[in-house]
Parts: sequence; C-alpha cells; structure tokens
Amino acid sequence: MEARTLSQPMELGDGSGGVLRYSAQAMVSWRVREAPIWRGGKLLGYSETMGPPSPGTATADREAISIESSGQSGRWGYLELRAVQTSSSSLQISLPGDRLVQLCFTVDSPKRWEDLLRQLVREAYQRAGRGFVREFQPRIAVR
Amino acid sequence: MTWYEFFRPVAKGISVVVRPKIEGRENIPRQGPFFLIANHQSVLDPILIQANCSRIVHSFTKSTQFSSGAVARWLLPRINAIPTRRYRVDPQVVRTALRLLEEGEAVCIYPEGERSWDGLLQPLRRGTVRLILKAGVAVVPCGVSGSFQAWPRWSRRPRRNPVHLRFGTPIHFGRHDIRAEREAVLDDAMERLEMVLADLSGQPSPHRTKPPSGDAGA
Repeated sequence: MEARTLSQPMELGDGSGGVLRYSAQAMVSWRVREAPIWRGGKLLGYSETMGPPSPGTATADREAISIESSGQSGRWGYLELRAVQTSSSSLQISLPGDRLVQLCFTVDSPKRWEDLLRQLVREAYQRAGRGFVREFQPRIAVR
Repeated sequence: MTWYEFFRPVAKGISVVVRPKIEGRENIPRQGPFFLIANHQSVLDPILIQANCSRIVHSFTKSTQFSSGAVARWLLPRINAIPTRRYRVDPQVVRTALRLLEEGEAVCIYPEGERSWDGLLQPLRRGTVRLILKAGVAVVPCGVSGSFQAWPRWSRRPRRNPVHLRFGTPIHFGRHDIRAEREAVLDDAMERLEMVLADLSGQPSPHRTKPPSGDAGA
C-alpha cells in the first residue's frame, strides 16, 4: 500500500459576491473542565472533559473562522487562534480565554480542515507582518 | 505485581499476533533514566514498543484519551500513561517527566506530537526537544516502520503487514539547564533526532533539503 499524502495546500472555493469561504457541518463540543489525573498520590497531569456535542457549522473565510452551534457560537480572526490540531477524528481549536472547541465533521475530513486553517493562519500572520508560523500546537509559534 | 506488569502480557499477546521484527534491543539501557523517542505511525506503536522494550516505560499520551471513558480513565495511569495536553503548553507534563527521570525511570515520547496521516515522518515538536535538552539524560531513538500500513490512522481495522522496530544507539546531548543554552543547540538537536529517526524508520527526514546520498543523480 502506497503512503497517501493528504497535506497538500487546499484551494478555497469562490463563494457568492467574490467572497472566499469554506463551510462544513460538524458536531461541536466545548471543553467544560480539566480534571487532574493522579497516580500513587502524585499528580501526573490533566485531562479535558468535553461537553455534549451539538450540531453546528464551521465556516472559514480569508479573515476568520465562524462556529455556529446550538450551544455557543462565535467568530474568531486567525490571529486570535491559539492552536489548531487534529485529535483522532476531530479538529481541536484553542481559542482566546483558554477555551477549547472540538469539531467532529459530519461529511468532511478533520485533516482537510486542519490543513485549511493552518494555511489561513499562516496567510493571516504573513499579512500582519508577524512572521512565518512554524508550529500550530501546543501553541501557534512564529519565527 | 504492578498493573503495568499485569497488563504487559496483553501487549505481548498483540505483539505475538503482529510479529514485529525487533533490532537493537541491546541499545536499551538496563538501568538509569532515559528518553525513548519513536516516530508515530499507528495506534499499534505504543503497544508494540511497551511489549518489546526490556524496561518499564512511562509514555506521553494525549490527554483526550483519559476522558474517553471510565475504563480508559482507570486503566491509562496504571499502565504508566502520562496525560499530555496538546492544545496548550502543558508545564505539568514537563514536571512529571523530570520527576520520573530523577527517579531513574524511562520516559517514552512520540516527538512528532501525533500519529502520522500519511506514514511519513513529521517535523518534531520543539517543546519536546527542549525537554530532552533540559533533562540531559540519554535518548534512545526507536524507528517504527510498517505499522502505518498495518493500521493507518484513517482506517477502522488493522491488516497484516510486516512491522519493524529498530532501537538505535543512545544519544547524549548533555544537560542544558539555562534556556539560552537550550535555544542555542535546539535546531542542531532537532535535526539530529529527525535524521536518526528517519534513518531508523527508513523514511526521508522532514527537514532534509536535498536528496540523501545515493539518491542524488539517480
């Protein structure tokens, strides 16, 4: 079996009115808390507990990502994002205010969305003159 | 008997089914602290490594796993999994790793930060290499090949495919307590680790800018 390369840059589709946007339905979960993990009376670390998933939509355009769900909704510019990464079959985005949202796409690939967002974040950082983004997790870091 | 020892036969049983070819086991230190670093191709990797490593290892594991059910939450700490939050800088995982190393234990890290989507080696996380430089203990590299084909990340079922684990000779970077010292050697250390993992797993290095010798002019 040949290795498949999925990390090619994605092209954004042309929306109406010349606006570039990309949208997909997803089950949206928000982190509700972090719990300590102990072993032998010693703290090992923390794990996050995600809230119940609710149906929603993620929309990415040149400037920002919007997440709409029956729980919480919002729009964040790419310079505001703290980290972008896949986790199993979901996409995790760290947001300002120590918030974490997890998107489990209904008919799309988390890897495609990770590539898309990373490309858009890189472009936003370059437009803002903030350098080349070389890491997207555990935090977005530039050189 | 510890829970780790209790569950190790399960890992060994899976390893018997997969039948990985193991090389370089003699490179694993018999005592003392060390980092075991491996490329991450498949969910099989930690099982095969823990089954075939002669030392008990504590493995960095993504924190999400610990909240994936009551069984995982109970079991993972008992088989020496260390929860690692990947969506933010996690100082606690650094403290835990340094404590275990001070106690003479072995700590396993997958420095790419996640399973590969395409089977290829990904760039290593800089924070992981910083931790290695701060700890100053030996680093035993382990190249995994074939496990991506056996059970790729995007597949629900495993399939038969030869899997190879190659343990390399320990690398010593020395201890770099001062941040400026770590930053000065960080790029070189990253490149060296990537080259070693690439060679052991039979893959191109993610940062290799020109073809490896032998390929040039082919």
